[in-house]
Amino acid sequence: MRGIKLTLSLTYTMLKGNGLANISGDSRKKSKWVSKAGNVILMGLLAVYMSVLTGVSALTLRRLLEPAGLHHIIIGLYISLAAMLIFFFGIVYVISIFYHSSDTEKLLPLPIRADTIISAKLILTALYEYVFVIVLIVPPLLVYGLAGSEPWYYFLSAAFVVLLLPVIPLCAASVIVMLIMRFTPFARDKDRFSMVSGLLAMGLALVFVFMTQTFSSYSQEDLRQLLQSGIQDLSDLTSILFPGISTATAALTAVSASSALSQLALLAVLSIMAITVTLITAKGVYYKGVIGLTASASKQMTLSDAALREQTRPGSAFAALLKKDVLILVRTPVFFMNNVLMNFLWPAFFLVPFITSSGDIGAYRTFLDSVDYSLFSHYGTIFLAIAFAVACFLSGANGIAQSALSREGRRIYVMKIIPVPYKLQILAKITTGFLFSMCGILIMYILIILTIKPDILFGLVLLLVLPGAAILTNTAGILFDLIWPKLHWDNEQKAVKQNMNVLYGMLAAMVFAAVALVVSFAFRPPFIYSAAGLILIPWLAAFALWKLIKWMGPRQMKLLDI
Amino acid sequence: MIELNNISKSYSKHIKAVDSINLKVENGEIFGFLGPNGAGKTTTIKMITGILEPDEGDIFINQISMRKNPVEAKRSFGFVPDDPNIFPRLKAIEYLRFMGNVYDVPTEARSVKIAKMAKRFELTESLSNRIQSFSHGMRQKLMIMGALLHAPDVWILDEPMTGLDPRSSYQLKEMMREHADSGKTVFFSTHVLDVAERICDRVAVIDQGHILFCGTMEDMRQHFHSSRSLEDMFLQLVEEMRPEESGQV
Ligand SMILES: Nc1ncnc2c1ncn2[C@@H]1O[C@H](COP(=O)(O)OP(=O)(O)O)[C@@H](O)[C@H]1O
Ligand SMILES: [Mg+2]
Repeated sequence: MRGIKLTLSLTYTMLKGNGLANISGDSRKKSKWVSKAGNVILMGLLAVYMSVLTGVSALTLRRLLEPAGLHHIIIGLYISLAAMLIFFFGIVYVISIFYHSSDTEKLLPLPIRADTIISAKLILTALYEYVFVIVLIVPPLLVYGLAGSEPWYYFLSAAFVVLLLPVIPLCAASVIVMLIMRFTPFARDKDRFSMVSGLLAMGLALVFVFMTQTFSSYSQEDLRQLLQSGIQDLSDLTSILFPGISTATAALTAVSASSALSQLALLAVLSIMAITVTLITAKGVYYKGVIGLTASASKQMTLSDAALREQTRPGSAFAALLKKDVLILVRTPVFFMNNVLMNFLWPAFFLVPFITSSGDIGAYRTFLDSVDYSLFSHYGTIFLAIAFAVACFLSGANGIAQSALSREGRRIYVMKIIPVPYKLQILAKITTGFLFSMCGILIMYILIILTIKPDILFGLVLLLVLPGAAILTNTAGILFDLIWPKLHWDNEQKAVKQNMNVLYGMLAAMVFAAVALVVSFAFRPPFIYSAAGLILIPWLAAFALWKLIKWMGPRQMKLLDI
Repeated sequence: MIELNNISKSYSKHIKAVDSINLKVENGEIFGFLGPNGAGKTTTIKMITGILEPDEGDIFINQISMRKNPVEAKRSFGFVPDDPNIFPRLKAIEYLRFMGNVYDVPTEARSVKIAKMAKRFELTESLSNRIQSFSHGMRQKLMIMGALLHAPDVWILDEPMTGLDPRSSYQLKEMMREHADSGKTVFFSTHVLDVAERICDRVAVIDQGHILFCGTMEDMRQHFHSSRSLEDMFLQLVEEMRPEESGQV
């Protein structure tokens, strides 16, 4: 009894202190309240949206499959999908809650048994998972039941299934993670973990976009067949991966109350067994895995004379500043996810629909193909302006220039003691932003060339126009950070996420985009003028801003109080 | 050589963190800057190194004005801050190369110097690791290496012994002595008195932004007509200067 009480009070403490619960917690009171309320509303809207989406999908599928008498396989589909999702998110949650959460270190010295800690953490993880379950599986099960007027015991089974479903996949995820953490040092690196899991999430999102594009091109009959075989494969796979999950499907598709009941009993027994196995594993390996975390995982190695000389070879101060900035951006998970990855993902999101040319998009394609991209064409003018506008948006969205000083935080003093003129240091920072923006812009450029295949001259003009967007937005962006740098932060999130300068920079980028679009649409200048304008004006404007920065930047730097 | 002419700094309207300080640190000496916590040591050092602008006065490093020619002045000193937590995601060797390039350290000198200092501080095996994995003391030592890489004439160190193990702290003191004996300048702050007592040629005692005393250890003993420990003298100094304060607060 005491054990259970301790477990529950531990869970409660963790829930209150856990990073996941206040993911965007700010230190100041008022803005904290506002941002919390905003978060709740946003999450609520998202949940409603997802529920409607999953509910409607269940209805559509039932309508599609009922004529063939195959509608019961839908249950298998949702159960399997939910089990898979719970498992994958479980892995991520378990790593961060069991291992990387800040309370772990504080719990270690206390006289609490490993299985008690794990029980508490397991309950906490389950709570987060239930949020998913409620959004992803409750609406479809409900819609399915109501649409087909299923018997009373269907709804009763559904309630139990919802309650028990997360247990087995979550326990599987816990056991796997605990074993991995115990025996492979790779997974313990917190930085690496956040990057890998972030990349994985982005990859999933891309796959999702891609899949919806592909599915929308199938005919009804194709889709029915695809579904039938696909669901069968998926169900087979899940019942191998998570033994016992098939009982959930069996309970929901049972033809009598008694058989539903017996399947549910089986599910309950299997769930209890899963928990037991997890706790036994925890007793055996959890402490060892966690303790390995705090020990430094770095290896000792002496550099040879040649290697030392090579790794300290001379270079210009400018290059050194640039390299330092780039390394920090790429290696700090928060910066990598927010500032670097953006450049590569946005173009992909924008252009995936165009690559998978089908349906409505096919029509755009035909339109784009028919456009005359030669000189003096009006379409060319407009297309150029749109491309410039998108490039502005892309390079403003990465927020690199807007957080150039903020990212330094307390170590900004380094900028003040090194014998490098401030304007050169600022120029290095603009260059960092420019380079990353150009990565995104070049990807976009390549995708444009591949998809619409314009003639060579147009392609060249476009290539000359796009860098202007990057230089202009980055020069404007750093201006905000010079005026209002946000240097007092304790975690990196605050430098790039809760930083108004990023927003201002994006707004400035949108203004540039809007100006280009409005002028092109309103006046329809001949292609040659618009090309010349879009190539020259951004650079001239950036140059004017640079003059301002050269005058103002060093003053601001001198005054910075740290 | 470091010269402070009438330097003042206040963070808010009422409290002057540093109040009209005049100091001259000569070539060839180790100068200790002593004072209790919150005395104004870090503030002064931040002004010397250009991190903060003084409200009044000017600072000269090797006769170069920090106000008129900051970039040149910055070339001639190396600075070790009190908080060594910077660039956790760079490898130690990357940090050192960064410092080498920023200060334009000659090619040949670099690797030799890094190897030599790393050996003294027992960091040789950790150079290719990220600073993230370093202990506080190791970070402190790396900061010292970075600051001294360009062989600056003037060393400025803020509480450099904090967090160093006895061996490293001994090495640092040796290095400071060698540097001063070669006719260059070492200026460091500390609140640990016996460190100052053992290695300083001259000291200044600061409290609440005022210099209470400046001179050799010998002067200080004479000033108090005693051979008491520095600790006693220090406490007496601070006590003497403070009585009327209690009424104001
Ligand atoms: N950034 C700051 N803002 C406001 N007050 C400060 C700041 N930094 C230091 N102070 C105040 O200035 C005084 C001197 O501080 P400091 O120079 O850091 O002392 P020391 O280094 O001798 O311990 C202290 O009273 C401290 O509270
Ligand atoms: Mg201090």
